[in-house]
Amino acid sequence: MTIRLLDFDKVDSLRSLAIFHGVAHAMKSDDLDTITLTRPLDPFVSIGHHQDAKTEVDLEYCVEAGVPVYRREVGGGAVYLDEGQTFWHTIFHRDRVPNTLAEVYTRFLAGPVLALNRIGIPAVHRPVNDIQVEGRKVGGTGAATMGESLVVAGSLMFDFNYELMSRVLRVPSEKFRDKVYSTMREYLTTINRELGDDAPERSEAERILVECFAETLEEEIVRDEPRQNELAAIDEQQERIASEDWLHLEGLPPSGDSVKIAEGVNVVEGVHKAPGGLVRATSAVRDGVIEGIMLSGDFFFEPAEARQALQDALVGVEHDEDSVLRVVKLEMSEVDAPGVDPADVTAAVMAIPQLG
Amino acid sequence: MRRGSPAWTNTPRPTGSDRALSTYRGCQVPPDRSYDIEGDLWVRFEDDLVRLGMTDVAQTRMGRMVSILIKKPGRRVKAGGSVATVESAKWVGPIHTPFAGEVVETNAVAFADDILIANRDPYEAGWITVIRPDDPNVPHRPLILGEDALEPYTARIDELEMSCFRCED
Repeated sequence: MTIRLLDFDKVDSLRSLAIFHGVAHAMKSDDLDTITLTRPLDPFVSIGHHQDAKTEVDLEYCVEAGVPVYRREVGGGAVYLDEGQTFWHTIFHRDRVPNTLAEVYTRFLAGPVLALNRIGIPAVHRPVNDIQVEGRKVGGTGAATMGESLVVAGSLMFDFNYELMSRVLRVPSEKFRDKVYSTMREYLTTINRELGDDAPERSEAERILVECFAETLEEEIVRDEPRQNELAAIDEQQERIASEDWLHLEGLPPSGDSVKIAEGVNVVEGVHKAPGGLVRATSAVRDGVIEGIMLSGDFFFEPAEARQALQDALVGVEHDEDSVLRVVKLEMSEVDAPGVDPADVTAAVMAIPQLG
Repeated sequence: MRRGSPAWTNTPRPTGSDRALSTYRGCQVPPDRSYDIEGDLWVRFEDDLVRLGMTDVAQTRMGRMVSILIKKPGRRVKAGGSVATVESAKWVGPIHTPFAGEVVETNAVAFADDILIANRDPYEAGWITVIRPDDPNVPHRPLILGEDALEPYTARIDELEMSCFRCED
């Protein structure tokens, strides 16, 4: 069955979101499966379907900086996006997609992975839904059921503004922001970072992407124009996505102080009020293991170097309470820390919520 | 050689209830309620109300839930419309109600306490919402009663080539 390509090229950020939501909601079983391409003309913040805008994003900063914030109907975390990305969406009828999500991602990420390979990036699909190059994520993906369609969303990430990405998030501390920034620099990459001067022209990379979708989906892809009912649905979605009611959706569950950087990589911050002072632990955790940690707060360690020694000792330790407590006890056995015992430090490292 | 299909088995419910559960490829389908098989939804009629939830097949296909947003009591819903959206680690989608009506109760508090509740116990503790249908005789799609659902569910589970499992942590 032929697949339609709707290439909307450059559109404003709101329209870029409205397009795939509208085409997806308009789809009926008789319609051809569709791939859309869009490039946003202006920067924006896209939050996950179930995220609370005011707790995830620094809305005051965004207003000041003129960066709009929109909720998408796809899950995951808040992300700062701009003209550095081309968004692709596969919009297939739900009856014509594989039965399991793992298979869905395998089928629809094969094209983007092949396209990256073809332009010179040795990207691989890391199940369930990451596209990685040598352990670093290159673009994000997600899936959602919208009306009768199943949408898989992704991007060709030519550039990514790490600084503004970490700036727009509402974070518990500046140390946390620094950690998010440095962890993103380490675990997220872009086409231009990988290829430098050898990066292809953007239009060429997009052409290769479409070619690779056709090869991997084993279907002909034909350029088409949106139908009237799709345009009407896009307009309707644009109005909804721009509305305050949709941005500030009510009844959302609370979220913790954790930012997911890539599959298995998170920055986590825990704060624990010990009798001797506040203990704050900002950690980068990869596949359940602490990769880096910073202990701060108004507690007192004697000798002072013991704090660094403890931070060093925690690197490589499993991020579970027993493992952390064992290391902290050992490292603090000869440390004078009035009012702060190993359990307090462990509570901060594990980001264990305080009772009461 | 193609292996023979496993048969339905009746097993006592482990948590103490004496209600039997029919199980096929690990997927439980309690016979004491009705099913929208295509929508992977169960429906239990309780006087003039209906209680809705996801089936074992639905929670397995979706995977570990990370979030749910349920329409609040007092809200009107359309037949076939969304009464909740669920988000798992890799997917977001709606839960459709078979009836037009009014939301009278939700299980939002239980989900706030344990987001995996429908992964662990989709048929009891993990129910999603209670609706007062405008007309309980007019579902959006046909609902199939209890044991009559086993045969079509066998076909669906075979077609999906799946086995069910529950989140334990």
